[in-house]
Amino acid sequence: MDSFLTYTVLGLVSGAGYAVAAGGLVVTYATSRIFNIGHGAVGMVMAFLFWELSAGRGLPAWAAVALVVLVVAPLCGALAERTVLRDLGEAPSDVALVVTVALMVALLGLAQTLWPPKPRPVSPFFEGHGFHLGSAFVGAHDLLTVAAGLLVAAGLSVLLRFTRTGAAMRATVHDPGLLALFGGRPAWTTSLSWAIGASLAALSGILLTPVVQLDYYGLTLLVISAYSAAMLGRLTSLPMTYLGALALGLLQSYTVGYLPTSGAFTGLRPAIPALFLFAVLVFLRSPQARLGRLRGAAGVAVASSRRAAPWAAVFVVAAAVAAAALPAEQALVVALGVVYGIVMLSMVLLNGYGGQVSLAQLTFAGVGAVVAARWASGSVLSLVAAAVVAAAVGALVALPALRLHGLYLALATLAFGQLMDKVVFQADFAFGYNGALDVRRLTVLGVRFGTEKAYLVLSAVVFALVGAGLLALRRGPYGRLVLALRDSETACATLGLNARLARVVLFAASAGIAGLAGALMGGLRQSVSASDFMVFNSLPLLLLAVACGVTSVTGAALGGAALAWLPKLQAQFPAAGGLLFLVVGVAAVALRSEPNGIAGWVFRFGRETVAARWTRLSGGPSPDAEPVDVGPVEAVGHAPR
Amino acid sequence: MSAVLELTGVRAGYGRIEVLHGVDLDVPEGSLTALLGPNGAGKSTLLKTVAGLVRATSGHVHLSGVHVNGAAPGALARAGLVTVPEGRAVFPNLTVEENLRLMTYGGRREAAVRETAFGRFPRLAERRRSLAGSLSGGEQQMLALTRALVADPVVLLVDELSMGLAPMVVAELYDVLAGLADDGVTVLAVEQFAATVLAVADHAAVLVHGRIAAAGPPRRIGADLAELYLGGAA
Ligand SMILES: Nc1ncnc2c1ncn2[C@@H]1O[C@H](COP(=O)(O)OP(=O)(O)OP(=O)(O)O)[C@@H](O)[C@H]1O
Ligand SMILES: [Mg+2]
Repeated sequence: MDSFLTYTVLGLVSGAGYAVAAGGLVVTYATSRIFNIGHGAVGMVMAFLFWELSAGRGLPAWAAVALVVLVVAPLCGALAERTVLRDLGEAPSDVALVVTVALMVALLGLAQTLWPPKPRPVSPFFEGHGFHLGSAFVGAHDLLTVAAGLLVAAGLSVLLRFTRTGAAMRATVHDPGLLALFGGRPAWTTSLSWAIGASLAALSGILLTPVVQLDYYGLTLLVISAYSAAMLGRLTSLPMTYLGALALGLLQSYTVGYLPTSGAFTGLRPAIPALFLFAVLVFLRSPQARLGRLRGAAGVAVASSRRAAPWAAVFVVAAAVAAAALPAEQALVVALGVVYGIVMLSMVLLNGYGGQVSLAQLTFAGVGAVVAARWASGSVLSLVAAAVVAAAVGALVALPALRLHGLYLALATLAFGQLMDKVVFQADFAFGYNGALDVRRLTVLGVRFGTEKAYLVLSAVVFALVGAGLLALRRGPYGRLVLALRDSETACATLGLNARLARVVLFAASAGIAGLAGALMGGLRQSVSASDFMVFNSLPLLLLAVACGVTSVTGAALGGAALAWLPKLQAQFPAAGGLLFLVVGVAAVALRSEPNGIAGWVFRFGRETVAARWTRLSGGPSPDAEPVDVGPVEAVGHAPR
Repeated sequence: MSAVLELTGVRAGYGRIEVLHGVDLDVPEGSLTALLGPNGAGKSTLLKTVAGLVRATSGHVHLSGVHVNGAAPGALARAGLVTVPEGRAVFPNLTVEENLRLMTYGGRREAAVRETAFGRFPRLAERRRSLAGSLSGGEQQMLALTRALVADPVVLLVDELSMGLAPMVVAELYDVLAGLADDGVTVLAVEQFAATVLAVADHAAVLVHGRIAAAGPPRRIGADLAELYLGGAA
């Protein structure tokens, strides 16, 4: 009974912290219809900044809090809104998602660059002060946190319900032009809401630091807790959000207190928010998704098999030449790039064609690797099994998010990835606790692929086959359905197309491709561990895929190469560490204006050169738009808006 | 009688598509002027250009003698130009009261705004806590027009007040506009269906293919309307 009280207090305190963060999410969402995945990361950076100012620079704690929460965070929030987030609410939801993911990755990079890993103990405010409640000790910091949670919930409710500014915030999301005609200032209103959001993220980060500690990822993942709470309030109701946050805090605290500390449940604690999120997704009806806005229709030019086949051959031959010419060690890197390219192909299918975002594609690769190691290792069957099992897992993840909008699916994948990291991958039937698995290299029809070089060629063949398969799929009726789904789900529903089934199939197929890549990666590396497939590694993968062109097979090849090359670069310039994350994040944001990424530029460049050459040869204008022989011109997704 | 709203040679459009090909129009002070014209003539575009939502590529827009080309819509609104755009110019995701709260940018207090609104349109009082999106079309239009009543406009632009409404309601709303004009507000009302508005208007103009095809007293314009619509293209 005694400990019960203690756990209750602990739970209420973290719940109040979540409530502060969730309040910030609700405000920004209510004003701009953007769900900021980077919300937790903002809190993380601000918590580090607070540490820097107070512990590092000796500022009194209250001054540091005031400076961070009232000045720096709001300014950064407003600045981010002005520069990258403006009008994103109008963009297709996957673009908005990717940009906030980029924000998150960039902030993670920034934090790791400015504050390299080292222990940074943080003590609570007014340490030692407090009072006893029965047997439980309630610290002053705890009280402060609970008070902050209440104040924020009440303050935000008053702001949104009873003030003109609050009404303007909710009005501007509907029609900023009309608000201007009313005499309001929509731009200013939106900036204000992001300033408030960032400020609350900072406050929650600082308040929760003594609980979570100054941990890049722990604080960043607060977004999952905050999001679950906000979901309970359907992203609009602040009281429900507050209650949800408290319930989540309590649940987490009781789990820590009463679950056995050994065996299968060890990893469960950090996964509670993820589980909670799944429960919320499954049991709650979704807040109304944005309905039927017709998005940038696809300007599609999919390469025919006849045009794609030579390029596939060129790709494989190039891989073979590279395998012959390069030393084994470098062949490994190139092969890894090709394997990553296959993971990116899975994103081309899901995101480029389908407009859905998964934040845990590497997790599916991990599933594939485990299967390939555990079952029929070394035979082709293991590849097939890896793909099938990963696809089944993918379908399982997509099912609860079925009724929901792409955003919820994306968050469900983030939660799923975290769950896999903490619980499933650590289990004995997977990698084992902090363990690694040996994967045997393949023997196909008596031919043994025993070396890195052989794997390079093998991976290139698989990449070419999968790429060709995607193009064929894209040209077929299913591809048209997927594209139609992306452009207007509502319209598809009114046409009687089975959107849900199509979405699950899409997601499962994409997970299957990732699983296949995971199996190949296992064979290539010969030993893989859970850390190779951490969910946070999926995020740079997603961003590179988008930056290089997630709408085309060519983009996937470029992105895979870039991803394999990044750690090499990082090893050469260790100082660049987190900076690379920063660069990738910024690049993804910059490239959002070119939805076809670098590959889009390549195609256009190729087309222009051909056009120019044609003009020179014939002395006349080129017969526009016959982009022959310029490159693997293929599915090009959203027409630039 | 001087012109409070004056357009000379105004050209405007969307991107490379020009919709207004040089519009000349004077709207005299304290008058209710009806702007008529067939679908796609550019009437809404003309209002948007005056309101600052669309930028004139050439020509001049003067409001009370001030050159306002390129002014921001918010700034114009705060200076006394009230625009009630096409469609339902209310925020459907806010309640009636919250919509009224947003009408206080003109400087009136919220209580005063409510008093005016509920006094003129008692039906709004009954539905004060309902979402504006759940009101009937007529009630929404009343709510939208309330802004014209409480914002003390110098110039009022109204686009297709009648759209989708019963004739009774339309007549009631146009009486409100006529009342405002009597109080000295300069009103420019765009209409597709001429009869109701011509009955209360002081002046009328017809826009065809992005040009003013005729302007003058409502009675004469009304008589020539069919010919103007059909022959104006030539
Ligand atoms: N946002 C826009 N982008 C591009 N073209 C537009 C846009 N809005 C209107 N147009 C075009 O400008 C022309 C004039 O449109 P406008 O809405 O001004 O006509 P209108 O006279 O108000 O017609 P109606 O009586 O049907 O309301 C039309 O050809 C229309 O297609
Ligand atoms: Mg119109």
